Amino acid sequence: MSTLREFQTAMAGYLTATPGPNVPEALRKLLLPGESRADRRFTIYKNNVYARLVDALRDTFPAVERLVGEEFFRFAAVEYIAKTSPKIATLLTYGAEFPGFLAALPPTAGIPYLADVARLEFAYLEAYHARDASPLGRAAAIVGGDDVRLPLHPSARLMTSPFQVSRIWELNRNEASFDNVTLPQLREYLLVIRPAREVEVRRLHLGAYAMLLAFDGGASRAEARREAEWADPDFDFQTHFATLADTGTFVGTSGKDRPL
Amino acid sequence: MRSRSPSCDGIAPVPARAGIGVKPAHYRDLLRTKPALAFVEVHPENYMGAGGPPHAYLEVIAGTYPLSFHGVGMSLAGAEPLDRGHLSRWRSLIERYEPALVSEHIAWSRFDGISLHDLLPIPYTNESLKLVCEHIDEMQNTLGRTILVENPSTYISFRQSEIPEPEFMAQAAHRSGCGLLIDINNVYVSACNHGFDPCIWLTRIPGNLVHEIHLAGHSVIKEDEFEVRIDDHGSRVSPDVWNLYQETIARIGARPTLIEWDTDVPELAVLLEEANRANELATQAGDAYVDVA
Repeated sequence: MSTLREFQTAMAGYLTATPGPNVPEALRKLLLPGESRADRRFTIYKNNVYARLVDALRDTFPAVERLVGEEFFRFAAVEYIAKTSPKIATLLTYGAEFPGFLAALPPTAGIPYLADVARLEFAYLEAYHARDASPLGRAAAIVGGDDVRLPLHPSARLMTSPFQVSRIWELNRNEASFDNVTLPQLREYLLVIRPAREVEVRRLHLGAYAMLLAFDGGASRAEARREAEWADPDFDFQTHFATLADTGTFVGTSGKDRPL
Repeated sequence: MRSRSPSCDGIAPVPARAGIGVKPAHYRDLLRTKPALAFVEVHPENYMGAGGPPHAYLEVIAGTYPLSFHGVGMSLAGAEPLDRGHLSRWRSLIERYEPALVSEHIAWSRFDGISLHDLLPIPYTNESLKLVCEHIDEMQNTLGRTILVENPSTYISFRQSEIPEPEFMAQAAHRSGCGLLIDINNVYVSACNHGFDPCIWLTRIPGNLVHEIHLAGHSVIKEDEFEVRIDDHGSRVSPDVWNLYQETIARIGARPTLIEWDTDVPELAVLLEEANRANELATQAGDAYVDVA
């Protein structure tokens, strides 16, 4: 084995393991004898690796951090990082599995909506970095009649939660203080989308959500309408469709983002 | 006339004055005030999303200033092959923005399909020199650009190292045809952490290989007898590093010089103060390089 590969094998193993004071002998013996405090020196690298990834998660999940507090967030982040090493050299979308990880983390059981807040924050991040595309206006969306298949804007992300997750997110996404709020336990249907510069989180009617899910799955306008009216018999398809088209929900040509 | 960095195939001329590293927090201020800067530097890894505000801002910045792409994730000193996906994302960015300067590090950050997101050190051996040169070749060929490589800041040094660091850098440049980016703060941090003389280190780098200089702040950890300097890019450039900068450009001539600030990022005005200081020193140093060339 080459000396370089030998060192990098040992170092990568040390850096990805859960934080701890133990520096393997295989690493320590590589140092110049004059270097004092070998353990302390290696710890600097490990701290750097973990600090950078914890910061990336903090940037992406500010509302989650506020809900659980800085200390618990750091604990959860470190546990997650030890299990989920980044595979690529950009951290823009690191943390895709953090919501699921939080859902399975026993101490978060007291905050049943936490994982959904995390899902919303990650959808927001994805919409922020998604491919740019010019939305179709209402007139263009209506042309083509019932057979037209309208792809959603590449930034569009649909999600639903049994909790008022968008309201919880709005209250916690920055440091502003608020009085105690009681939220009804009502299911939310959300569209996260960035038709222009700003990411928008829109609360949808069940019928509109069903319609967009159908369009996203490749349905025609007639099929999407049937799905919407099946989900919500009182649904006013024309009005909702026009509003969604006016607000940049659809594009003319198909295209989901390429994954990084 | 303002001095320019040495001409070299594939390296576009950038004024030998100060530029700054730009973060999203600076976008609005920068584009509203458009301060005089020789160039603006970004980490391409932060622009590897498909679209959105980062690209919208970078388009405008690229139309206003010469751009420098300074990579942190290529892992040129990694024992495993370069990540093809990463190279291809780099290439798309180069084609879209046509940056004037392109640089990476003599460091590794990738192993066994995992990105460690830190600039990790290597023993300086003939084996690692050969590998680094092969990876520089591959990056230059894929991008169709001459790149600059930067000296790392380090906290450990290796028993097996057989080539002094400045010689390793110069050899890498000679063999691969790349240029050098000398980070004077890194030289100083490593010198303090390992007990060598940063002035001597700097005089061992041939000036004609240097196409860019980096300046940044660092912090100091003191624990009992143990003291270590951490290259955290979180404060102003230290007085010792300013002195080394002044001595270096007095010897080799002014170069495009970056004020780098990555943690606790201050408002734009603070970066511009540091840039002005670098510009004053660059003006004093004059165009020694051009005379030599």
